[in-house]
Amino acid sequence: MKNLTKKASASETKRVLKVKKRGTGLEKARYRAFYAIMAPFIFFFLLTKGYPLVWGLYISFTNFTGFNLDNLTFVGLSNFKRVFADNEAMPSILRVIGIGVITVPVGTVICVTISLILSNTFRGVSVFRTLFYLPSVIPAVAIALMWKGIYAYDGGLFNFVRELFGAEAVNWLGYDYVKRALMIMMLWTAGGGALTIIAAIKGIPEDLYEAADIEGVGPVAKTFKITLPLVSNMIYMHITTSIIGTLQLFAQPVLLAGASGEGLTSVPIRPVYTYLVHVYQQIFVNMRFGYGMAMVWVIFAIIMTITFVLEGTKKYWVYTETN
Amino acid sequence: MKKRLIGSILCATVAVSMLAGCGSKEATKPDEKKTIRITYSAGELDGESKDLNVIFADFYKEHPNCEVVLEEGGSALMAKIAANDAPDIIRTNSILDVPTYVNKNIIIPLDDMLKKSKLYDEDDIFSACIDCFKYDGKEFGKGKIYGLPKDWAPSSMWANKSMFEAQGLRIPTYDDPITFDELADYVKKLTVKEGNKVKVFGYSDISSPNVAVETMLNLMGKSMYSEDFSKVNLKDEDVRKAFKYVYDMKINGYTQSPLFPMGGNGNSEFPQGICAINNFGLYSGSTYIKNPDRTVDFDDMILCPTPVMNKDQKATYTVSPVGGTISASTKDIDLTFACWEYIHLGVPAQKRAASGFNLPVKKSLAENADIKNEFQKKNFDLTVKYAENGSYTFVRSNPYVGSKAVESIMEKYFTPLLYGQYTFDEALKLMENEIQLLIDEGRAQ
Repeated sequence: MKNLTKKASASETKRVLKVKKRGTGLEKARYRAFYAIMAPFIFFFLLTKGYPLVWGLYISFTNFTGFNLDNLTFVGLSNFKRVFADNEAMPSILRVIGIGVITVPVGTVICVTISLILSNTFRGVSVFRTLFYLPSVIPAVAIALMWKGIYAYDGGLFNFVRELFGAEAVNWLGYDYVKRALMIMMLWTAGGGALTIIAAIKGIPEDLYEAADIEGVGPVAKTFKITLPLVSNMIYMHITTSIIGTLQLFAQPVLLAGASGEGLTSVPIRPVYTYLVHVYQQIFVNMRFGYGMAMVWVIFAIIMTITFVLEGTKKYWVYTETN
Repeated sequence: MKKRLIGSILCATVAVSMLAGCGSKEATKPDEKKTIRITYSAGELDGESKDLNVIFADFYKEHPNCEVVLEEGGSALMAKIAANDAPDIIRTNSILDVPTYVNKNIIIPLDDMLKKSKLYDEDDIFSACIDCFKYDGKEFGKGKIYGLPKDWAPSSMWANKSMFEAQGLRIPTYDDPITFDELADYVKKLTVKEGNKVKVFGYSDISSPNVAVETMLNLMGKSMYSEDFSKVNLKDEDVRKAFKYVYDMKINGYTQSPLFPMGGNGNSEFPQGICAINNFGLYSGSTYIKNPDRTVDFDDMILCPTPVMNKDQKATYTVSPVGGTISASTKDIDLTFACWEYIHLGVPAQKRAASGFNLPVKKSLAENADIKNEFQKKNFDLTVKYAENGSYTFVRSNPYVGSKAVESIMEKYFTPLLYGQYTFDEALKLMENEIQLLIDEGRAQ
């Protein structure tokens, strides 16, 4: 009797485990429906994103110059080694990191400050929200051309104001000031992330603030102890996307400070000659497709590394409901 | 069961609708329109209209099943060529682009088709226009013909007569041009500075140091490249002198640079009296007429020849016009050639001639151009005479490395040189190393 009971329990356990492993009929149906609905997206994602990624990776190991597809040679890691030996590639990465070290934190502070102010209700708040968000919806080309006019040596707004106060005009797009000019232009669009942070602030339960009021907590303490921790997830996302965007800086320096060449093949002057500008020059001007692809994979690896490191710091400062 | 059925139908609908756009390029119906892709912009095709249906009206009458579409050139062009998706007619700078395109088999020769063409009459075409698209792999003026300009003009420059006279300088003429040394002296006297700012630039722009340097060298019978283009030499004394010339112009503010920006290339600034000499030719005159901020009188704007190397040399012009070539990967060569012929020798060419913007390729059109504006007409006729009677040369262009790549390398080191980041010799050495690397890579393919 005991053995029968034991056997029955064992087989019952096995059956339960099998069901858990394979899922019930309903769960299986849900999985099938999910993959059936997602199938077209997965197919087109692989076709339009996956295939170019793999092709680009393959090209990075060859001597492809755009015209020798029938005569490709496998060159191993020499394109990747060249990235580190190139006298422009590494300095341009450091240059762009130098820009990011200022624009990312300053931009985040500006964005969070604007969000904290505009999350309050006062007359005309929606107008201000629109005004601060507007720069992020204007195309990069239009922004660069507008700022080029503002920075113009003769008759540009900044120099006009300087001369009004008796100061000499400054060559904002020259060697000495162009980095500053680029960063000011980038920070001008810092308000774009405010909408998401405002939405997150609006989602904070009111009773937390009420409880804080009862305890006699002041507004500054409420901001740092309640508001910021509860929107830290959004701030983390903002920082991550800002870092990625800065490392991929390309159009703004070319359009703002292009010294020669046409359109996007224009070469910006050295202080704002960023990594992706160098990549673009290698591929579209020097026709070094293989080398350019290797450079792209190197920056991809750098971005992934920084993202993982940032992810690792999350536990120290990002509040989530589960922790 | 019902839900499952509805779900499956919805999935199938989504999948089919996404795949509906896919189709075979080859499976075209007989009456479907054939497309010819060209990289010109609409405004430069006939000088009047930007509507392709108007521009190609006569062409469509003879080829009703054809449609011309415009495409972007520039950096997108190289990507398309690399992807084996080149447009049919490629807007090409004769001197700067033809060597690279021929070397990489991107374009095809047109000799056989031109022989059969009813619109092409070699005797009626300016020889410079044929020679600038005639290339044998090393030199222009020899070998096969790869295209024709859409319009052209001998290299010239504009001088502000009042500013010259105020400084006691003589205006160059086609019989008595100035030398480069004289030009250096002139621009120094013509430049007006106020503190750190340049109020009037002596010379408008030297946008491509490589072209400026190679022009000076070619006029001396020299070049920065070896005979077979396998080597670049920037250490040669004459090459250094030519680069120094450009450097001195820029560092002193006699011409614009990142140190002394002017804002434009001179075409807007010259009629406003912001520069004394404008480095662009006949076509600039058309822009002066339309400039609403013009303060310089038309009588003060004198078209004159570009400088020569020494006093004994007569006025010599360089030619580097933009024209059209036919891609080697074009699918219907006869139709593409018919379109090419129409643009460069047909009705649009006549309309471009009448606009007076630049010289037409055909002598008969040039001599009979009905230009209404007096200022344009005067300079147009002067240029026709120069084109017919003057001597010309071509700037040597390396077939192993694209002109844009050389220009980009030059700018990369020239600008830091202006800011004192490099010494003169350091900058030249870096330029030489990078250009030589590109030449070696180009030759290895």
